[in-house]
Order: sequence, then structure tokens, then C-alpha cells
Amino acid sequence: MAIPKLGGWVPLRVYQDREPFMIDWCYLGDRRFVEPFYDQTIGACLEHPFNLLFRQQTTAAVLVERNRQDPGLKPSGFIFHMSRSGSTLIARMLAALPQNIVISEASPINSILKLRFTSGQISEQQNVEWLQAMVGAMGQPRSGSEQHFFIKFEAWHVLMLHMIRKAFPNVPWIFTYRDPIDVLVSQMDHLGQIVPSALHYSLFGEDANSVVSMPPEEYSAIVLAAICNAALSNHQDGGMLINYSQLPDAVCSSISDFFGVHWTDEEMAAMMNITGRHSKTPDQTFRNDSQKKREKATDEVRQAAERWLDPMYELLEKSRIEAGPQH
Amino acid sequence: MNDLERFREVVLADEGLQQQLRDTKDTTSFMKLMIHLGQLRGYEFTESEVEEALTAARRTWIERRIG
Repeated sequence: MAIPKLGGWVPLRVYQDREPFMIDWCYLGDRRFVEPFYDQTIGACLEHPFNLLFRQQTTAAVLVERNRQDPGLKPSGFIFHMSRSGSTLIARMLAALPQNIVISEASPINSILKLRFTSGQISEQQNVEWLQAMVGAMGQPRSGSEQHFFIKFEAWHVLMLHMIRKAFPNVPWIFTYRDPIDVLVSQMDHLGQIVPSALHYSLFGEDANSVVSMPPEEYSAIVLAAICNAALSNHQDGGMLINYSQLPDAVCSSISDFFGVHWTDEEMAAMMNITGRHSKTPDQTFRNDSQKKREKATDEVRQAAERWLDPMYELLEKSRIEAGPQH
Repeated sequence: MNDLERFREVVLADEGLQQQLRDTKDTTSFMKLMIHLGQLRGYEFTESEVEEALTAARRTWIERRIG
């Protein structure tokens, strides 16, 4: 099989105009992923006219063959989260060090994980192979100094943990969570990730009619509870639970230990230096807004949190504490 | 397939050409270089064709981000 020279190229998008899918690649060279999200780095690269005009296009088979020939760095750790719970901060702290490749909520990975919902007749084994190949494409060293490779997934991806673990059974993973009211208030401010059209309701055990008639607070709480439950049910299989309140210090200590990576004092200082900025909008100074969020919580948010999320939060806390002081 | 599309395929298979074009970030200079490199290899296309292709690619990316 002829494989185009893809050194320095990264997957830009997955699309399905030819079965099973095609991949567009964007030239990144040795540019690092330092923006809060994968698509932001890609978007910055597309400001260059070359990248607008020239994209490699390959089939899924080429992606798999390329991974077989050149699998890239093995992932050091995966980051899952209930959303709005500090995972972007963790990713940005890790991305502060040039030896780390940090992929944050990459849309091509999302596309691969959604394939079984958007295409019929795909076996889990096939999906696993494509996921391995896509991750392999993103873990390619491009500057020569990379040693570690981390992936932050989208919140709903923890529902696909069984498949991700099949693809990467030995990669340790963490799940971040936060006080339910803080998360729900943020969700109400940023509706989009967890509205019915964005994710398939069947993933959360709901049907179309009930989703459409449900208040957004309740729907968001049900989705978040399903996400937390997936982490809770599986955390003993290579996982570690992290409460938002443990951040940022846990990144340099328990999380790094769990991922099997270690930093010098200078490297830890560089990571902590990130924490003064807002993680998703780094041009803004970070302010702890938990108190403000609680004041902003409506009765509907409080009721939804109490009914769907508080029991889950208590179970997560119990499991985390039982797991021991290093967790 | 027109000459611009053919030349784009030639570039995607030629790392030397890619490097020359990547070294030129300014859009106007980039378009001029595209035309020059294309002509050297027998491909004829205009600045407005390159500009249209850039605009279409930019629009596609923005639509995808919104959609």
C-alpha cells in the first residue's frame, strides 16, 4: 500500500464520503499543541495559506497501515471528566512542557468514537483498530524532544471507556469531577455540549420524546450522572478519581505519579505558572468562581443536582477516599 | 480537473515544493509564488483562481467549526 509522506502532518478531520471514512491531514510541522483545544491549534495553522490550500487526503486503510509502520509514542495517560471540572487546566499544565504531546478534545478522535452511531455494520474490533490508528497519528513526535503523550477526551467519551480500554488496556486514566451545582451552572451558561442534538440520547438511556420535553437542567443532570456513573463503575480498571478541589497541586504529584511521569522542580514551576490564567481563555486571569456559581444557581438547577447528581458525587467521593491517600 | 487542481496534486507529492510554499506566509506573495512554481512546471492558472480556492477553503473550515 502506497502511503504518502505524512511526517509533520496531523489529522484535521474525518469524513464519510467514501466507506468507511476518509481523513484530511493538515501540516503542523514541529508546532506544538499549546492551545486549550485541538481544533484551536488546527485553526491557527489554517491561517497559513499553504494549509488552507493543501491537505493530504487518505483512506482509513492508510491510517491503519501508517500506524502499523510507525505507531508514534505510547500514551502515558488519558484524562476523562464530567465537564467543567478542571480537565482543561490539567491538559494545559501538561502542555506547558515541550516533552509532552497533549491532545485535547480532538474532533477526529470524536469522529472515530461516534462511528458506530453514524455508520452501520462496524464491529467493535474494527472501531478499536481505527481508534488505535488515529491516536497513533496524533502521538507522532514532530520536534524530536517529545517523551510523553497525553489525551484529554470529551466528557461523553467516558461512556465509550470499554472500547478505549480495549484499544489501550494498559494506559492509566483519570476522571475529574466537581461539585454538581458548580458544573450544572456552567452547563447552563454553555449549553451546546450536552444539549440533545449534540449527543445521542440513547447513550444516556433516554428516548427522543422524553428528551425533547425535558427541562435543560434535568437533561444536563441526567447526562452528567451517566458520565459520572461510567467513571465510577470502571475506575478500578486502571482509573483514578480526581476531585476539582485537588487541583492544581495534584497534577504535579498524584496524577503524575499515577501516569508514571516525573518532573524537575523547574518543570513543575513551569506547569504551576499556567494556573494563574483561565484554562479555556488563557488571555484572562483565573478566578475561582465556585461561590459565584452557587449564588447563581436557580431552583431548577438545585433540584436537578439534588435528584440526579448529588448521590453520584457522594459515591465518587467515597470511592476516591477509599482508594487511599495517593488518590 | 483544471491546472490549479493538477498543480495542487503535484505539490502534495513533492516535499521540496511544499517547503517553498510553506516558507511564504503572506497571502499575496504566496499566490505569486504558486503561479510562478506552477508555470515552471507547465501549469497555467491565475491569481484570482488561487484566491477563490483559498476563500472556498476558508469558508469550508468556518462552516465546519460552526456546524
